[in-house]
Parts: sequence; structure tokens; C-alpha cells
Amino acid sequence: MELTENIIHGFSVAFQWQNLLFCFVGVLIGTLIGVLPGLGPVGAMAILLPITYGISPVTAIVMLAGIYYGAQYGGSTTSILVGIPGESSSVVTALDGYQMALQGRAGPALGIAAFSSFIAGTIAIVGLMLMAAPLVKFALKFGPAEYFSLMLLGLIILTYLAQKSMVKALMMAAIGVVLGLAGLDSITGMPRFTGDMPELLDGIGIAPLAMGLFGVSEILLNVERQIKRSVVVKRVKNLLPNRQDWKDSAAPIGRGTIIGFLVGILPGGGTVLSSFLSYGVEKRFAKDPEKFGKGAIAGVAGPEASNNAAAQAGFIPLLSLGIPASAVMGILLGALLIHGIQPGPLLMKNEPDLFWGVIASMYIGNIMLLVLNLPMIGLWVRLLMVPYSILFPIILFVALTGAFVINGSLLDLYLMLGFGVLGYLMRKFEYEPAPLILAFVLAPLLEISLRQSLIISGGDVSVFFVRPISLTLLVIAALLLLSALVPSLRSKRQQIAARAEEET
Amino acid sequence: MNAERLVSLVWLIVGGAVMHTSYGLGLGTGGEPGSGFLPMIAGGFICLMAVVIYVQTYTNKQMAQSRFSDHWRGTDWPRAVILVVLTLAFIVLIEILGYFVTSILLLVIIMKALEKLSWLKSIVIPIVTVTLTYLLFTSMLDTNMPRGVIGLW
Repeated sequence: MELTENIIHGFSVAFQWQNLLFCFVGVLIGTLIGVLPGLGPVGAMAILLPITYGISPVTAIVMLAGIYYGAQYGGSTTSILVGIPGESSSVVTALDGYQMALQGRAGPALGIAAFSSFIAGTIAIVGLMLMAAPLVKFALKFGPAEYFSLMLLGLIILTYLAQKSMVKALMMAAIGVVLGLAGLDSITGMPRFTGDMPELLDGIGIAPLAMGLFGVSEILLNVERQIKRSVVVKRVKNLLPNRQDWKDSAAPIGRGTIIGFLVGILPGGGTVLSSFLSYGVEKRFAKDPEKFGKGAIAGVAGPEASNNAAAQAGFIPLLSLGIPASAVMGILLGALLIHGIQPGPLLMKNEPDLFWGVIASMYIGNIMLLVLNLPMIGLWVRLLMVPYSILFPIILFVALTGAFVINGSLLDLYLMLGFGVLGYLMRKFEYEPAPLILAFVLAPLLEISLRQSLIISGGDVSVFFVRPISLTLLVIAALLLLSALVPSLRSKRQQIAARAEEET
Repeated sequence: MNAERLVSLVWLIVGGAVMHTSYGLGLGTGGEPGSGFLPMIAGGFICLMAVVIYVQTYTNKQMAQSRFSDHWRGTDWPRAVILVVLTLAFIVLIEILGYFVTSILLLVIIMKALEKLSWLKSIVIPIVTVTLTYLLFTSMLDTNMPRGVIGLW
């Protein structure tokens, strides 16, 4: 069996000591930033991106991936113990998890959150392995026209799922394209949008951009808000859910896994949306829905399974097509490119170490996370008591150091601060940064596929419409855009997006 | 002036500037798109969206009432401004005073002046943090941190 061989190969890579070490570092940092409100996985990954420059690409991706799925575990701890979500993907966990904690059942709530995350994460990795190979075969038929249409559709789905205004999200995507094209044009060799600064000839770095938009801007918003946290439970006992808890959670975990996996593959869907969907589904399936919001364990198990499955499934488009489906995957794509690895359908064949090693490391990472989040829960509870006034200066300082060491250039520091202020203002006026960062990493690929398609067709735009796959993708994109204009559908879209706020 | 409307006008200017620059870069032909081809499309799209948002500030109730003060209500915004100024000062001073001294200064000032932590915390935490971060980054990457004109590290 080819698959078995590949899996064994993957584990042999993942078990190399430096990969084990950085997998551990990744999930540890992931849990840490998950537990601490005020810094999301995108910001944290961006801040740590510079460290990965000095290590091998496999090890780098293993660590960065660990931060992402680790954050899904850590976020639930804060949701349950403090009632404030540690991560946006664990917003719904706060609803019933916090109630359970108030009723003295913090232990089982944390336990079921960790176990359902583990089960769903593991199942989703199996799904990822099974789906990747056929998808790669399919993608090998793609020409530049298909790629262009696929990226365009990805960006439009992401903006469609934007929580606020879709118009603003589309605008952010366009800004991201322009920023992503800054630097030397790879075909004509002409400098673009560099303002005559030689440092910008290589383009704007993803690290200062992402650190600014997701790291610095979050700090700025938080310092003016004064986060207050009170931990309801100082000591957690009885982490193991009892038989009844398991009975109530089994079906929600199953359904949550499926929902998370399906939503996770879609661009922009990701962990937040899947956890809300799962919560809604469980409420509908429940015999006594009025228990929801008052400490129903199914309301913890379902969404926690769902966000983890989504986090793992999000790797499918990146690893098999080379197209990131979310801002987090955008950072990972940036990391691959920095290491000179060309993502795309050939990744599996050309870089088997990376492809199978990273997937195998996720199994190991999930087991590490289970250990980190159950027996060592006391450590995280204590960490939650570290005040933000100590945390944010440290985060800011690490970001400044990280932005500087990449190129040893002060310009990157100014850029990071500038994008930090921009991100702060954007959030004030409800312009979301996720479409910007995704469009930023996609822009060079988007331009190349657009040019290649047009050069091959001799300037005939119909090349995008006569090829069936490309046409299908564009029709879906157009339908989404149109549906955003139709008032009744628009309000439905906003309902889905706004549920995040209503339910909290 | 309506805040959302003003922001949309800023975007319109940004989009216009992008289009202007793209035109200068050369659009090329359909069969051979130039350096300004995709940027021109993106710039045009920015302008289009800016116009849509501008119109929305008349048609959308919530956006029609947007005022600058609403977006900052209930926040202690001067703290954010101070933090930006301090960070800016850090970047300017790093070449003069060197990485180590500037970093410690930045953290001590934030923790003592902005966050009102005790002197003990405001001195011990920065020293530990800066030392660890310095060791972590320099061991991973061969980067020389600026030593400043005095030559301290």
C-alpha cells in the first residue's frame, strides 16, 4: 500500500528529534496564546515566523501548524474558566462551558473539551490524508486559468463569510493584492509601489505586515480597553467526564467533527464558523434545548470537536492545491515561500518529507496537547492570572525583535508599526484584516496565473470561460457576489456572520 | 462629517493613486499584460468599493450615523497613542543607544509609567525578557543587533 508507506515515512520524519522538539514548542505556544486572550494564532504565528528562518522548512511548518491547532485547545480553557473566549473559535464554548464551571463542573467541561478536540482532530487528520491524494490528482489537471479562477473564488468566499460588511472585505482584498504586488515585477523586472526605496524591491515582508495587522493592532485595541479577567475556579478537580457525560457528548462529537471537517475545507470558513454551526445543530438535535446556555455538556463537546476538525481540514487546500483557505494558512504559505518551497499539487511528490512529515506530526501534536491540557491544566490556570500589563509589553517587544532580525532593517519596524496603526483603524471602522492578508500572499500567484492564461490564449479573455472547471468556479464566484446584492439573501448572510455577536 | 464617509473618501484617493501609478507602470496588451495590468484592476476595484461605501453612508441607517467619537467611546484611547509614540521612539533610538539599552528602556517605561507596576517588577521583568529574547533570536539566526553609537550590546 502506497498510503501506508507514506504514513510510515511521515512518522519517521516527525519522530526526528528536532521535529519532535519544535512540534512540542509549537503546541505549547499554541496552548499559551490560546489561553491568553488578546493575541490570536495569526498574530502569534507571524511574530514567531522569523525564528523559523533558521530551521529546516519541515521543522518550521511543524511548529507553525502546532501553534494553530494548539490554540484551538487552549482557547477553550479560558472560555470555560473565565467566561471570556481565549480565541474567537471558542466563543461558543464560553456559553455552556462557563456555566458548567459556575456549577462546579469545570473539570468535566475542560476534560470533554480536550477529549472531543483530540478525537475530532485525529479523525480529521485521517480525512486529510485520505482526501489529499485524490485532490492532488485532480489539481494536476489545472492550468493557469483554473488556478486563477480558484484563487478568485477563494477570495470571494472569504469575503462572503466576512463578519461585517462584504463590500469592505472586498476592498481589503483589493488592497491586499496591491500590497502583495509591491516590489520588483518578476516578469518585466520593473519596480512597483516601492516609493524609490531599495529595501522594498523584494516586496513587503509578510512578517511585518501580519505582525502589524494582527499583533500590534490587537495590542493597541486591548490597552485602551483594559481587559479584566477573573478566574472562577482556582483549582480544577475531576477532569475525567463520567459515563453520562460521555453518553451526552458522543453524538455531538461525531456531528461536530463532520461539520468542522466540511466547513474547514472551504475558504474562509474555518474554525469560528464551524463551531457556531455545530452549536446551532446540537441545540436543534437536543431533547431539551432549553438546557443550552445553562451548562449543557453537548454545547461544549460539539463546538470543540468542530473547531479542531476545521483547523486540521484547513490544511487540505494548502497542502494539496497550494492555495490557503484562511489567514492562518496564508501565513503558512508565506513560510513555505520563504523557504523556497513552491506549494501546489506537486508538493506531495516533490517534498514528501514535508507533506507526510507535517501530517504525521499532527497526530503526535494532538497527543502532546492532550497531555498538556489535562494533567497540566493547573499551570494554565496560574498563567491566566498573569496580568495583561505584564504580557502585552513582552509581546510587543518580541514582535519588534522578530521584525528586525529578519532583514536587519529598520524599515521593517516602521512598516510593522504602520500596519499596526492601520489595523487598529481598520478594526475601528469594521474593515477586517483577514481578506487583506490572504490576498497579499495570493497576489503574486494570482498575477502569474492571470498573465500566463492571457499569454497562452493570445489575449483572449474567454480562456477563463470555455474551460469547464474554470467556468464552474467563476460561476460560483459570480453567484456569491450577486447573492450579496439581493436584499433577502444579504440579510441571511449577515445573520450567519452576526450570530457570533448575538449568541455571546 | 460622517466618519464612514470620510474613510470612504480616503480609500477613493488610495484607489485613484494606485490607478495612476499602475498607468505609469504600463498596462501592456491583452496578450502580454504589463506590470500595471493587475494593479490597475485592483485600483479600479478599490475605487468602485469606495464609491459603494460612500453611497451606503446615505442608505444604510447605521453607517449614516457614524461619527468619529462613537468609534472611540468608552475607551482609554490616549494609552494606545502613547504606546505608538513609545514604539516609534524605540525604532528611532535603537541605532543610537543600541538594541539592549533601548529595549530595556522601552519595557521599563511601559511597565512603570503606563501600567503603574511596582519598581521591582518594572525592572526585573524587562531585564529577564530582553536577555532571553536576545539569546533566543541570536541563537536561531545570525543577526547582529544594533549596538548603538556607544557600542553597548
